[in-house]
Amino acid sequence: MRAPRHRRIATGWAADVPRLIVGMTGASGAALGVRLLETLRALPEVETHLVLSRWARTTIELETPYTAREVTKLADVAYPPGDQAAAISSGSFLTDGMVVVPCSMKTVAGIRAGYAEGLIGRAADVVLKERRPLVLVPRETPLSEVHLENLLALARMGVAIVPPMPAFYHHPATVDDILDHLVARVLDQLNLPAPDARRWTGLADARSAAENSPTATAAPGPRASS
Amino acid sequence: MTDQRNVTVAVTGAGGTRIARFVLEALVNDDRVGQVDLMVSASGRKVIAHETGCESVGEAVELVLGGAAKKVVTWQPEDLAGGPTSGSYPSWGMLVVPCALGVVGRIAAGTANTLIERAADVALKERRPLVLCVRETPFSLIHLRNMTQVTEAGATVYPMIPTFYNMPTSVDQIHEEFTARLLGFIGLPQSDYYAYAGTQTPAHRDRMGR
Repeated sequence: MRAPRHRRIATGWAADVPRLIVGMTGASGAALGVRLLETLRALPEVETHLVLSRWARTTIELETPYTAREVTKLADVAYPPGDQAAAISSGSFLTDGMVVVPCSMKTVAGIRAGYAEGLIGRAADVVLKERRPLVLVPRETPLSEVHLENLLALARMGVAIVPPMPAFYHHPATVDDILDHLVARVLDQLNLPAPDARRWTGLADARSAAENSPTATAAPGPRASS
Repeated sequence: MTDQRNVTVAVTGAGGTRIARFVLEALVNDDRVGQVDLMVSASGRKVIAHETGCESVGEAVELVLGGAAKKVVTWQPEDLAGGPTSGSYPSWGMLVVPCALGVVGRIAAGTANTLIERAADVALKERRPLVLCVRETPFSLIHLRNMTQVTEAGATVYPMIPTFYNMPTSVDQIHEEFTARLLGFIGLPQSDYYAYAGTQTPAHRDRMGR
């Protein structure tokens, strides 16, 4: 007998393996999208479907040591950004949700307005209508009324708004520590495992961790020379 | 110098208090700034203590800066009669860095329970700049509603999100860039930050090694 091809999850039916759509758009922070894809690659049970926008390709080449082609290879399936006929354009193609990282304010506006231009906008539109999880990682500061109202409207629809804001309770020592922590917080939103995440469990634990690790606490003093 | 400005700075209970130190250092060292009125909330003290390994007691300026500074006047957050409680007190505007989302909620609601919230209330009613450097992720619906409300009332929500186009190679570089951008935003432009000017800027090429 054939094994069942679909799983039942909180938001409906899903494919027999966790299947995640990853969109990368033209906001700064391409390294975040790349780190997420690398982390997901280490979770072999997760199938990743990647769309790079035109300007994501530019920020990848600008901000990371990778080429866009190398980033594409980190995913199981990759689609051109203008391919409106791709599988992820249809709700009948089962997925466990979508993350857009980094997410430009233009993409936020497009998703909010339902203006499904390009495959990233259409895939997000589908994820919303099918009531599947949608996670946006908007990298922008400061935020205008336009930005805030668009984000607010999406939050009202149940979208997770996860701006890439470094945390400091885990005493990040490097930019890599910050990237790993942000990726873990995105995985948390998608119910995917992040076993290496450093989590806040109260001040007492934090104190004893600091005492046991001389490097865990950034001592006050002059800035590190850059 | 009469054209120097007084800047109010509040440090509240969110992560990233090292950035408050960078910002305060920059203000103290800036000839365009005559005085800094500093307030540190009780939660802010705890976060500073956690992030630096110092004690949470002591002078506010020592806690944030690691030393004294003549330009800095400190106020107790529970002192609702302190100078910044009145619009008549000279102030160019106010920075809250880092800004806890509870503080944003109380500013949005106008519940001036502490001198920090009252000073923010005053900045809004006097139509002075109020910049809230929030540190939180994810944002809930409540956070976004409150941030929208304070923005409509004239504040600027300035999340402590790094830039990546400047290719930061250390945590302090992220903080320095944020500080320089923030000070530029409030009209104190800095000379040593990365101004994005397309893909061929020298700073970009240098850090990429291309």
